[in-house]
Amino acid sequence: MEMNNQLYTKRRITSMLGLMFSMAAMAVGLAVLLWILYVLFANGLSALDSNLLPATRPHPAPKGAACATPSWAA
Amino acid sequence: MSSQNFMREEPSQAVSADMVAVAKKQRLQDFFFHRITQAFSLLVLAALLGIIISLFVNAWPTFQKFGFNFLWRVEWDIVNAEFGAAIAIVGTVASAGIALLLAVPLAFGVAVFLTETCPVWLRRPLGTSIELLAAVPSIIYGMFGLFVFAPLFADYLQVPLQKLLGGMPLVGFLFGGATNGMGILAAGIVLAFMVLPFVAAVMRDVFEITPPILRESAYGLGCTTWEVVRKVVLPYTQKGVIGGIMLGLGRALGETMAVTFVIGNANRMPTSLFSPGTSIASVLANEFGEAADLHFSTLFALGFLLFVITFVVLAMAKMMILRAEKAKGN
Repeated sequence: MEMNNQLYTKRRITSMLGLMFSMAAMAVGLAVLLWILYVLFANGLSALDSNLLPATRPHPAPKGAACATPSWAA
Repeated sequence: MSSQNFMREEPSQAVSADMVAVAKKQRLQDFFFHRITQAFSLLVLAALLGIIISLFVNAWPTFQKFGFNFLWRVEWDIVNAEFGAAIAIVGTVASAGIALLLAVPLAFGVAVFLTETCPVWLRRPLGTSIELLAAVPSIIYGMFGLFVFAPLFADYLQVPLQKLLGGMPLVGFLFGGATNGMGILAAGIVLAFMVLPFVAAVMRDVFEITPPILRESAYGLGCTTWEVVRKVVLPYTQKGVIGGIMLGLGRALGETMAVTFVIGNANRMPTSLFSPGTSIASVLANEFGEAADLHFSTLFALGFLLFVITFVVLAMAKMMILRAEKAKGN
């Protein structure tokens, strides 16, 4: 029985394309993970300082007022 | 004959009484164990029923006022108490659909790579890295989407896509609208990255349980790696794969923060992939704090609808699996 080279080549190319796709998918997944982690660490670490944790939120009231006026009551 | 008599007569009355007592005790323990585990499972059912009933009771004024029209009404007028769920439903289904369209092929690729072609020493670190994506909180995805992804998406994808495809007949309308980086497509892409690790992890786990003898037989017959995946691994793990996809869909449908940041939060029907829209979860997150009366009831009605949509999707998945099994003759 003679081997069908054309069919064999087609099957090999299909397999190669499928495996290349799977590698590309893995690369995309890893790239997204690294991108998110890079953004998070680059921005987060640079903003960290010793005052961050004990710092309190500034009072929302305008100067001189006892408390902020809620938008629905204005 | 003599041995039978020996067997019948040898055990003493005291031993058999002990055995009866032990058996009685075991029966009692079994009874309580059975009842306690039954009570726990009924508790879950009761909690589910409680959630459905409380959602429905709180949503009732809205259903009473708008009836079934609530599903396809597009109004969202808080001042005049006119509400409809169509925009939120479309936003939810569209963003979740886009997310699955992108995430499922990627997750399949990741799973194939990890189980078939990846060197063994690299499998664990890469698998853990992909699972790490699942550990990123959804609000981080939202912040990342809004501050990093959306500007880049607007400049490098939306504008070129609009120039390239915006003028095409039939599909051109999909790429119209403002190119500010936010909208249904951006929400779908961010959601896709979010659900990717869940779907990929399930697919990898089910691919790994394919019996090696099936794989090796296929390789022995001369199949290529791709043919083994497509004709042996995938049919064998069909049920698990669909389960993984449904897990991803369930997460995508109910995701709140990641979507709220990038979908645009506009209460109008999206006309293109770039249009801002809203989803059920983001409407709930944005408006619950200020809701009262019918508005409050409407938000419960939206929650009830989200519950129904998720339930219908899962039921359809179950039916698909059953039908596939029936076709296979199992």
